Amino acid sequence: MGVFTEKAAVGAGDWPQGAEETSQTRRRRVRGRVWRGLIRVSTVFGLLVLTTLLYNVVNSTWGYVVVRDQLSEQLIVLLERSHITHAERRVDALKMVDGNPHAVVVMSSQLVPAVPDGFRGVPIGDQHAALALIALVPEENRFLLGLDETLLRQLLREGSRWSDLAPNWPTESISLMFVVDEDGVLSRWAARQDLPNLDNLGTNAMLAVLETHLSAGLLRRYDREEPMADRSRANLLALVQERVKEPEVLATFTLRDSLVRQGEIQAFAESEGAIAEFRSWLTPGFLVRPQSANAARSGIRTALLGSLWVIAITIIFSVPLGIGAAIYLEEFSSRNWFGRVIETNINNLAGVPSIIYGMLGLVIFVRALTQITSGSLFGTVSADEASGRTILSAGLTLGLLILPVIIINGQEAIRAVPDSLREAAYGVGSTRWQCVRWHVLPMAVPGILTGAILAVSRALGETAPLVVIGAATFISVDPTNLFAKFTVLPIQIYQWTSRPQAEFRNIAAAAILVLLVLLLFINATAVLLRNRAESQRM
Amino acid sequence: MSVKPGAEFLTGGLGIEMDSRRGLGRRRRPFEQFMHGALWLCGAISILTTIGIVYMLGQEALLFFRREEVRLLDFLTGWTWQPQTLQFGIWPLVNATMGASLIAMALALPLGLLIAIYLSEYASFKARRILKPILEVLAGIPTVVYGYFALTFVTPILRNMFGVEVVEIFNIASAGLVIGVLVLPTVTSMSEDALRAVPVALREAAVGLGATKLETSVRVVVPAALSGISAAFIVAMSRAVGETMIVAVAAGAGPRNFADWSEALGGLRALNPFQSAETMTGHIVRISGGDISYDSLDYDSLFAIGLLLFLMTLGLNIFSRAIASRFRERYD
Repeated sequence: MGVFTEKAAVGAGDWPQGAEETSQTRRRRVRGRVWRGLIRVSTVFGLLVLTTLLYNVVNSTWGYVVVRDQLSEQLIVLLERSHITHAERRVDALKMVDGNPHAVVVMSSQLVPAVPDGFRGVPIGDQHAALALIALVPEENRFLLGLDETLLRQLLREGSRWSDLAPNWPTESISLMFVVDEDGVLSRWAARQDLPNLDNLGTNAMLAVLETHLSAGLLRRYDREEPMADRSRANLLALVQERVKEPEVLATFTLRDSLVRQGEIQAFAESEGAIAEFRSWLTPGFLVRPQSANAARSGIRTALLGSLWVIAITIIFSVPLGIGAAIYLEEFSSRNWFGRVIETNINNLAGVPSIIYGMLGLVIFVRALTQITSGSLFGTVSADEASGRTILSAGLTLGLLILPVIIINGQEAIRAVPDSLREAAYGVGSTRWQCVRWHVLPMAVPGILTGAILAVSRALGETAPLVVIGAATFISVDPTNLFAKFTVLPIQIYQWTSRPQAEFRNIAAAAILVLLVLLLFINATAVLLRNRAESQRM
Repeated sequence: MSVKPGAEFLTGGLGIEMDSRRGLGRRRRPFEQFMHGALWLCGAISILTTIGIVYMLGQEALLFFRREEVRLLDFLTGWTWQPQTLQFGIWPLVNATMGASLIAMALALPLGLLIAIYLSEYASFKARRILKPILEVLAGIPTVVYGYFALTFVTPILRNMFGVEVVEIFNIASAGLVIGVLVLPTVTSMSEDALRAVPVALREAAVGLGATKLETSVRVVVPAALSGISAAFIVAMSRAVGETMIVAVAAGAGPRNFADWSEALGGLRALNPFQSAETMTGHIVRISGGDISYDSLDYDSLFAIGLLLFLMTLGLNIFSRAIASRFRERYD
């Protein structure tokens, strides 16, 4: 306080007088106003960051996607109408039908610079266009002289035998074959043929499509998961969409770009022969699909379930322990050296970086206690393949991490219970534990729970320690027990963010939204709990 | 239990039995003792955790330094961290960590203090009620989300501002700035607590002497709360040093190595914030996130880094508490 006495000793003559005083006062006021503005601006900055952060996430969760299908829907249907079942792409189709007078091959004229020997070429559609279709009919074929576009369409729609179309034609079955080209000539032609939609294909047709376009190995894999013949139509349709149509994301756009630069996006899509569609990356399907190597097909089911499992373990482990420790420190521990040591220690633990806890978990739970955390002790896995990188290890590690936070919050809540309550309890002869159990705890519970919930919400967003103890990089099976490999939502976000492809950023943003909503929900519960407790106490 | 006749009037016929041969205080209460023991154990777990941390870091780091490929002197002075060539100099990692933390503090320190001054001195009751929860929300956002923010928002802005050739996709500056945002709530709330603890009488005295609000805040209240504010900065610094996910996502994967001190500091190349560099925490996460075999040199080296990180943050935390308690002004 020495400063103030010195000031008081300053004589009156040292102060500025008259005009000088006025101008000085004005200067001080202006300075005050300028700084007040600055201080307000800094405060607004905090708000701004939060808004920007949310805007950034939302901006990437919705927006245009330019998608090009490997095969357009019409083309799939067209190929399904091909009467040669193994109409492989870009195969030397001519060889396949050479010498078969009942076959017709249709392909882009680009693929056949000159009509090969033994065939007759019939142009289909606009003959003057640079890229047109050509139908090749073997020379031996005597009846198909008048082939043109109309007849071709008829072939597509009706009958399986030539005689179905005209009575004087042979009774052999029609062999109509289309060859897919890279320039999209056939697909453009197919688009004009008003063929039925993919959705309108029957189960058998879809099975046929799958058999035509999928490799044998892949078919076998799907068959093992669920026999093809038993699958529902919707399931088959999804498979066709996913594997045959095989949409490929060329570019993704943010919500802002989608709203502002719509024209450019459409133009880009057209120049690439693709379509631009507005997509929400956050869909109900996103929540229930497992992880996948393809961003558009990926979901967070595994990660979400993993998070719930891990958090459950964390709660079971750390909340009772933390509350117990808080009670001990506040109600039982005499203020001796032991109490003080624990006290300081807990404060220091709360400041240890989370990654160090990860290393602790790695050494203790994953390695030293492998037998327990891998479940080999309980016979769930054999000792050879025992790995401690399980849900149990993750939950326990996070438990240790939030334990100090729970203890500190719990202590505060217990300290807030007035001493008069304790004295009254002791006055009527209760023991320490009775006093705690029947008087202190009931009053402190809302506060303790609020602190515990906040700590748990921190654990839910924790990433680094779980990466260190070894979260799985790719799993698509649901965790079913404590000893399962795991991934959690924040780790999923981390992995997707680290990928170079733009579409993974989009699903990372969608996953972030899910995580934030989850945390908001938990924190809101904590706040509600606190408010209710406060209003009851009033 | 035998009850002597005559003791009944004490219990008022409530059915409470009383052992008159023994005093109540000395009665054995197994349950009471059990609970006492159980709660003691809960408290002891925290001690066990600390012992665990110190033991495992010390043990594994010792294994690392015992290896003949590793020399402690090189570890402490070297500027190349390259496990493939058995070069373990810690400085590239420490340099990146310090760089990111200092950038973070350069943002969080002035901003946090100004916001704290606003909340404690300028804000109306209503404004405080709105602003405080928002800051709490900011503090509750997972760090991996901040990492995403750094990579997809701050980095593009920096690259727009300073040029694509100058600013790399992964860089220390972007990570550092976002860490600054992350620790902002810590700085703000701790500083605000310190400012609010300054008695109103001091403010009234200043105002009475003709000081403006700004002069009162900056010349009287802030100096009076300086110990608490310094403590807040140091705690924030310790959090910045230990922050992992932001740097893992946005700062780059690979230490920025130099041959020696003169190369690192010549032209201050080691200090360029726009190049990618790996921090201590970033390195631990990247290496342990891959398929690492236990008992390898790589694995052991992580614990040497971890030990250093632990000592740094612990030192900062203890320092912060020492400042807070030693230089605390007492107003009674």
